[in-house]
Amino acid sequence: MPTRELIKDCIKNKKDAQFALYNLYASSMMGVCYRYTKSIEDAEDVLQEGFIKVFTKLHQFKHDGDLGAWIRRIMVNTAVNYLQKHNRYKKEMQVDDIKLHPVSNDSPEIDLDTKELVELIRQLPSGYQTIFNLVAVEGYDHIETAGLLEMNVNTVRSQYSRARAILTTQLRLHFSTQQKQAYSGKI
Amino acid sequence: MEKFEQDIEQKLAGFNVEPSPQVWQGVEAALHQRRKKRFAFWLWLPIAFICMATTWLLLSNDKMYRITVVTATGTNAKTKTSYTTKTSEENGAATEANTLTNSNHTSTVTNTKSRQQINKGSMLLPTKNSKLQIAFTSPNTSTYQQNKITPKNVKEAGTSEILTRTNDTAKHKTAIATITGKTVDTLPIKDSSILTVQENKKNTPIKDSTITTTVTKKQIEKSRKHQWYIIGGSGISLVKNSTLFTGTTTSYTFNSSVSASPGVGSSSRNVLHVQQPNTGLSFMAGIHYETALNKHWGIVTGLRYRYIQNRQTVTDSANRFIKTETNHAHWLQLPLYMQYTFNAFTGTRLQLQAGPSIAWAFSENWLAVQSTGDYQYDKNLNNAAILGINAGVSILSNKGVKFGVLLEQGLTSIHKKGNDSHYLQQYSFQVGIPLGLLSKTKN
Repeated sequence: MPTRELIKDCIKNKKDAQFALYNLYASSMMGVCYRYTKSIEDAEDVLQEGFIKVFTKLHQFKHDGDLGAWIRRIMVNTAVNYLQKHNRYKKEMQVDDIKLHPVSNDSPEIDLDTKELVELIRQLPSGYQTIFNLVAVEGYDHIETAGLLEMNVNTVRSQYSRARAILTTQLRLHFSTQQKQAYSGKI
Repeated sequence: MEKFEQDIEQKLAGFNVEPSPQVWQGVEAALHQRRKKRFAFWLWLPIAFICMATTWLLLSNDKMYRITVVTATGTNAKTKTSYTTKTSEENGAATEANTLTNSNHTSTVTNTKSRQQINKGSMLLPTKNSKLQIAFTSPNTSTYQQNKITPKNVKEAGTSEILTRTNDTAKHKTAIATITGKTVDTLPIKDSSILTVQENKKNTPIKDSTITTTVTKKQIEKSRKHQWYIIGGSGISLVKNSTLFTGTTTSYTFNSSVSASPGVGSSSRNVLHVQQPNTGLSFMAGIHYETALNKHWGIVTGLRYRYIQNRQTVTDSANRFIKTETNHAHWLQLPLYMQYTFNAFTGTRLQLQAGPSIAWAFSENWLAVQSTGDYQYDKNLNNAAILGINAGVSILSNKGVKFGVLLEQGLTSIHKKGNDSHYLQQYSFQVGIPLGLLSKTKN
């Protein structure tokens, strides 16, 4: 947790303090940006844009909350804006809801390490990936997510279900592959 | 929240990825750019202030009246009404109080019509055969007195003129000669040069009365007590490692262990040497205010903007040239000098100035040493307030224009951190133009 002094120094544009604050949160926030994007370069773009916003809006931070959570919120908003702005994501963000299949609500075991799980999420179409990140990881409800993405709540709900279904299928597939490998190993 | 979502959240809580160093460079560069933009915005404030102050001074210069209070007594020949009029003036705003004895409304009107109003100062003059005594209650010692009618002594400019403070020497001489009936040479030309006559263009001169006056030297000196100057100049700036003139200026290599990569932060460093800055340029513009304490001594103060630029060479460990970095600094400076004036040669005077100044570096891009020995562009590595000592000599022409040279020696090191101290030394050529002269040119 950074001290008030460090935050004050950052507001005063002291470069040493800004660098210290950046070092404190850079890797965790890069993790956030990485989950929302498809490439490391895009993630770094979002991170850079996000930290510029952090340093220019730091005076608005109220010391009653957690700075990490505040920065994370800025990163998420920056990531969403970035995806909506760039053509390669823009199309995928507007998934046609009508084509969706019915989905199940089962909850398989997540027998993956963090990196593998993140890569599975990143393989989702961009729109699903974003909604899944917002709802399942950030803990936004459907109304908040719909507001952020400027979408219909029902669309968000159904897209989330669809994203969840794809992911559980992938997880099961991964699980059965692992089991097969374990079984063949025993023979 | 279902178990699946909880598992996901838990699994991803500690997910970190190390970003590349380029991200911080990008953030740093963007923040630096924003600071520059913000500076450009704030720069308008002092510039706007200087422009407004200059405009105000130019416009208000005509209103600097010498006559502040006038008391007139007399008798109106037509109405036989005696009156006392007091008119006070300050910066062109006149107030008037009339006391009429044996008056009625009709006579007041007549009385008003019979008066002459001189210029916009509302100084009242009496009608024919009346007696006038005008006494100046300002600190000066001069008096105006209207004597009995002596038409033959009245010359063209006559009594319809009043003295105002401008710089028209020729008109002044005529006026003094007319009013005093003496030759102008009885007053030193240099003393009379700051007084002149403003003609009455609206009203007809009163030809059958005359005014005699005594203008003392003291009074004239008083009138040149305050002066505003627009100052501008340029010169060279040096950075030295001591405040003495013996300080070295060139080829000074900082500790050989210094590793630097300007503007890159703490990553991707190459081993480089940063040479002490070479000679650079400086420009200055501002406004000076001078007030005379007596005939020779005066005080000068003001507000000046100064731009300083110089270059630093970056070499590798074998002293091979890598690149040149240019430093820029923008200062606002408040000088406070003592000034001694003495006669030099015909029509000119010599002035010596010396005193301290305080400068506020409100923006800069200066390669500065950190406590670690690294070099970076960073405002926070330099001192924002720089104390200096100034000495100069200038020639004051008979029109009031100044030409001179000024030496400024910084007493505060420009770098806040690091073991080495670096002091700015500046030599500049300056020109000062009095605001009164600018105003006259404009008219």
